[in-house]
Amino acid sequence: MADYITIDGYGVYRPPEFTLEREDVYAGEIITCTGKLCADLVGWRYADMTLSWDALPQSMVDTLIGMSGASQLAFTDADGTTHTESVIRTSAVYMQHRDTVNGTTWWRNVEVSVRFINVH
Amino acid sequence: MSISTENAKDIRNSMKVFCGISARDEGVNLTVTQSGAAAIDSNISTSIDTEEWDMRVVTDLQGTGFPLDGTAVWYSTGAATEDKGKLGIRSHVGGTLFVTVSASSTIGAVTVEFSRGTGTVTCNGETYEIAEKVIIPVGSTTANFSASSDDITHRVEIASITPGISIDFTNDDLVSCTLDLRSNLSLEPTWEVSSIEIQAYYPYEGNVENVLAQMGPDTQIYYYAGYPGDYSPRRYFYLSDVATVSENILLLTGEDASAKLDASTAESAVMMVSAPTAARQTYNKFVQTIRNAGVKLLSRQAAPEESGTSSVVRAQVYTESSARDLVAEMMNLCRIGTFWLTFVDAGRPTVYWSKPTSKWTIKEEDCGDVSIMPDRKIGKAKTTNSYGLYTRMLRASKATVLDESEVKANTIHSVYFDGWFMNIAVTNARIVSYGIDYVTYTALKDGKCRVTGRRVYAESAQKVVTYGTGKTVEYEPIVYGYSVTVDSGGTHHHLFPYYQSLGTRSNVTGSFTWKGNPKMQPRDVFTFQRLDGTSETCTIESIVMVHEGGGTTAVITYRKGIC
Repeated sequence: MADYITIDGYGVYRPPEFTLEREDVYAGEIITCTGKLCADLVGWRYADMTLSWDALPQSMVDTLIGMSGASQLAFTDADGTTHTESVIRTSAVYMQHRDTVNGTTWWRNVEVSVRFINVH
Repeated sequence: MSISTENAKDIRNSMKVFCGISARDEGVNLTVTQSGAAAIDSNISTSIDTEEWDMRVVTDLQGTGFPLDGTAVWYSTGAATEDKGKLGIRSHVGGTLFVTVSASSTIGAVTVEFSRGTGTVTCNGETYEIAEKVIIPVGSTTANFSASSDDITHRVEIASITPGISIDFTNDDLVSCTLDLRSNLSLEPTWEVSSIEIQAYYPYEGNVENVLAQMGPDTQIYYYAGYPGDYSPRRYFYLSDVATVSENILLLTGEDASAKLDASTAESAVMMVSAPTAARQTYNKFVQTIRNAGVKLLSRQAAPEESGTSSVVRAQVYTESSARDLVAEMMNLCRIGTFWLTFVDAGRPTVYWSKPTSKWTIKEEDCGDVSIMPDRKIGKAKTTNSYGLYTRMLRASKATVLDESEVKANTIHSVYFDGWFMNIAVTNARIVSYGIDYVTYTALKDGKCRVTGRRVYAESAQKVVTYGTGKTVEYEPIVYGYSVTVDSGGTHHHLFPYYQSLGTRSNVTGSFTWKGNPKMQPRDVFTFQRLDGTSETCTIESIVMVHEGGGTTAVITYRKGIC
């Protein structure tokens, strides 16, 4: 049974390689006269990532193309809970070629990059 | 979580910053009427104007309902109170509220706070998007507006309507907040005004454009920062430039109240200072000069007590000057023993006279860009003024007739004297104003008006004061003559002005970058723990604190010693 993420409420197959990384966000950095780093920990956010699929049906590609401004990406993280994050698309939606199978149009080698906006 | 425990860490938690405009029209009473409400307090005109009362969480089935955790209470009408909370004005689900606000006097704007709901506010043909706070220009005593929900499953809820403008920013919408807190500890100091600059994300251009131009120079900007349970005291600044909105960024700049010192004149006067009360008289003169300029002090140390017994009395002549120059002069030349006249503003106008002690400890290992810069030492002060520096001022034993004129009743006259005089009296007149070298009076009846006064003059002219080796500075005194104080042992000490105090000030200054503490003030004394294990006592001259991107840094300049 396929695993899904949702983008703006619409289900999209979970990319085969959907590895989330959390990165700390720092601000107010100072390098002291002993070379030590002092900074303020603002929070953490998910690192920028590229979502890629071997193939996606037209309806799901339409969801990717329809992303405009801040979109809501919902997924299950390694902690087993569902997270909803605001993301912005940072690239065009790339696709290589399409096939039509049993009346459904499929696009191959689909790829799009996103950036996570929220800092927790 | 406290500022000191967080500052002890190399990687500390992000500080919370709160700032904004508090330009509420004081003394204005609002009366609110409405139609279209599904729920409203019976004392709505009171409750809607009381921002600090919380909105009551009621058993409301709008949207996805209410939480079953015991926080929601049954809906009931009646008067709102601080304990019960308030309903405010809540529309029907998907509905529209029509509100009329009547003020007891003309107001420039109203600030409408929405606790829930999305949609639009319409007033006088202008439309504004519903946000946490919506500012509606008024310019009269009545405002009629409507608030419509654009969601058929939710209401719009008005929490408060207040006269004037109130905009608040937190870390969520701040782009940057920069404070430039200043004093001048140089060897020839003047007064320095502190300032604040706020850049915040404010995507409501149509909301505030018309009211920004109405914000006058007394519009108050507030700031405080820290961690829950340990925030700095509020600082207050006043709008110094026109507030602007460009590309969704609101820019506010303000300066502290001490900017008023520039526009205020300290009138000339002769003060007879007795040795036992010299410290108190000098301190009160200092406080009076600051207050007369319109600066409202948030903190003031009680005046010093009478000290010792002595019949020594000295005359001091305060010539006319700007309050700014006199305050700087009194601070610079009144540093003896533990008597240390000080005025600090930086958003919290404070006056004290006790010599400060070290209040903070900063480790050099936590600082970056550490630098040390020596000033040229000053060894001599001189004046080309005919009255000299330590001139002793004496007063004549008898009054002199300064002017005698035939006048008509209710006419105003001014007489200017050649020299300085005190105990000015005018017969057949009411004195309007006077100084050491003039008097203005209104004649009461037709006839003669005679002006008399006691001459104040210099006994000797000491034009050069030497207190070490170094360069010579030229001084133009504002205060002539000098006061003395007496200790409990009966020893007299020079009090003010004390030119020798210039020679005791260190010529070594420095600066460093550090994490920042929003509680620190200019002129605070701190212990600087050096990398080589030594400690230095230093006085903060200026702090430039920057809150940006969620982080906080500060650049601090200081002068060695207690200044």
